[in-house]
Order: sequence, then C-alpha cells, then structure tokens
Amino acid sequence: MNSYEPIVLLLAAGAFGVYLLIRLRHLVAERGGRMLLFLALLVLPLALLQVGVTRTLTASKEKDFCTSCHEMEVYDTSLHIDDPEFIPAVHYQNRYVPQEKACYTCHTDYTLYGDFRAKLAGLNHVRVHYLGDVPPAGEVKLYEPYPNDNCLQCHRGARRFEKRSAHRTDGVTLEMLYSNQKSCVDSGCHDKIHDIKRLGKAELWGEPRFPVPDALKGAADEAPAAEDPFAAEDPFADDSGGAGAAGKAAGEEDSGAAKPAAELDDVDDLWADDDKAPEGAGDAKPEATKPETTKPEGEEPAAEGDAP
Amino acid sequence: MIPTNRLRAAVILVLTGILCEFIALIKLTPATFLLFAAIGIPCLVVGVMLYALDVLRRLREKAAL
Repeated sequence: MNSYEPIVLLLAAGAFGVYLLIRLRHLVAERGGRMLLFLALLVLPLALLQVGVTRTLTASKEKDFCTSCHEMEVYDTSLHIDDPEFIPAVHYQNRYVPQEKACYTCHTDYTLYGDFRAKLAGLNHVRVHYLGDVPPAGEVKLYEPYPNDNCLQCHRGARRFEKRSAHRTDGVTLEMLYSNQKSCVDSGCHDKIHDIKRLGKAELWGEPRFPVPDALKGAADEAPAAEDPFAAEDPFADDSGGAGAAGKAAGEEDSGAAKPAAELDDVDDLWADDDKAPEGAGDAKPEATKPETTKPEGEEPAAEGDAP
Repeated sequence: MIPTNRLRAAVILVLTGILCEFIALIKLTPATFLLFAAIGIPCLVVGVMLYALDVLRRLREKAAL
C-alpha cells in the first residue's frame, strides 16, 4: 500500500461519516440505509483501526520517529561519529543494523514480550517528554543494564565472534557472555557507546540529520577521556591469529587504530586462523554465520567481517 | 424508526477516531501517536460498541433475538 492511500481512504471515510450524520434520520428508516450504517459504523471502523494500528506501530520503529524528540537528536548525531570504536556508530554506518531502524534493532529486548515492553517504554518516554523532567542531552539512562542478548541476537554463533581471543581470555568466556554474567558493553571491552559528552569533539561521517549542539562543543573540551583498557586495540581487527589482544605489536596497534573503519574491515581475514579452511575459501566468505533471527530478510545486520 | 442518541454518539465517536487516525497518518510523531493511541483508538472502539448495542436493542424490541 502506498503511503498516500490510507490518507485518501481516511478522507473518504470522514466525508462519508459526515454524510451519515446528516442523513441519519432517513437512513435508519430504510433497509438499505441500515445496511449502509452497518458497513459505516462496524465494518469500516474496524478496518481503519487495523490499518492505523499497523501503520503507526511500524512507523514508530523508525529512527526518525525515535529522534523526533529534541532530547534524542544528539543520539542520532552520535551514529555519525567517525570512529570504529564507537559501537553504535560502526553498526549504523556499515549497515550492520538497518539504518532506518537502528534504535529499535539494538534497544528492543529479543524476548517474547520484548516488542511489547519496548512500546510500553516508549509510552513512558512520551510521558516524560511532555510531563516529566527531561534529562539534559547525553544524560538519558537506560532503565536497566544493556542485556547481552541484544548483541548476541546477531553475534551468537558467529564464527568470527567465537574465534576472537578476547572473548576467551582475561576471565571472559563465551559462556559468561551467553549467560549475561559478563556484560559486552559494561565490562570495559565495548564501552564506547553513545558518548554524547564527547560528541562535540568527534569527527562526523556523512551528513547527520541534526548538528552538534553548541553546548556540547564546549563540554567536549572539559570532558575527561574515558579510561579504555582496549583503547589501543582495534575492535574490528581480527585478533584471532593466536596473539590475542595483549600480544599485538604496539606498532601494529597504533597503525590499526589510526585507520578508518572501512580500511580496517578490508584487512580483516575471517579465515586467518582456520587450519581447516579449504583452499581458496578466503574468496568465498560464508554469508550465514548467524542463527536465524526474527528480523525481515534484507534488514538483517550484515555478518561480521562483511566489507562495507 | 428514529435514530437514538446512542446512534448519533456512535457516528460522532467513529468520526473523531478517524480524524485522530488521519492526523497520525499524515505526520507520525510521539504526540500524534499518543493522540491516536489514547483518543483515536478508544473512540473507534467505543463508537463501534455503541452502534452494536443499538442494533442489539432494536433487535430485542422486535423480538428478533
């Protein structure tokens, strides 16, 4: 259905409703009129209800809807940070998540009621926006710690994810990640998320929908640099060559960290540490390294290692 | 047979619900979403129910049920 069709349908329905109201006395007196009322007051409203609910719920999953509140605009802009260490930015820019549904993809718990809970949370956001105390830009907090399941919905079972030595060392095991005992984002590993306070200083990729607020440009100079134990390590470089995160040569780390995301992905070699890989397999990377997801086909985040 | 106030109210409520839906479909923002969810949907549902109740009452009067 084209976007204008429901609007035309609704306009016609509205005009028809006014006609009903004016001609009501005549309509109830005739058999044909009563049939018309049956269609107009029972069948048509139910059909319109279905169309409206479906369309609004679908549209409310889009990033533009989420960032239509002023306080969320900076989060949209943060998706354009030109730094491969920023997890949301690199997922958005490389289309690892559908760009038009970036917020919804990563912030909806993938459980039976995840969608429903997200909608309830969204209604609460609207309440806070209009009636509550809106936190300043960059200080919007999650209701609860970010669950690993939201990451693992795509990464679980992925060959490159499971091969990565950092996911098997330093007290981190795949089991701990899979059971949510060790957080992906709060354990000092992938903690560069929407770093709004440093947004003013960051270089941006592409054309952000919203400019960086002037207040943040000033705050960027004052914000202390967050400690990041993996700052020198490029999170998208393949470290599965046996050396591990700590085993990399410092020169390599520095040069890697300075490269843009596109180049870093180019040097990734999915098969680098795989003795069992068939010859020439590096030319034919598998597409299905992830389990089936509930996301529509074509919108599924690209497999790790996919060159953008 | 004359239209009851219940039937008139049903028509008005359905029209109100459609209007809210119309606004939400033209430009969906959190405010228009809330308008549709909090006013439009209840109006449509109550309007349909009022109409259904009116029909049932008329059928009972005619001993058709």
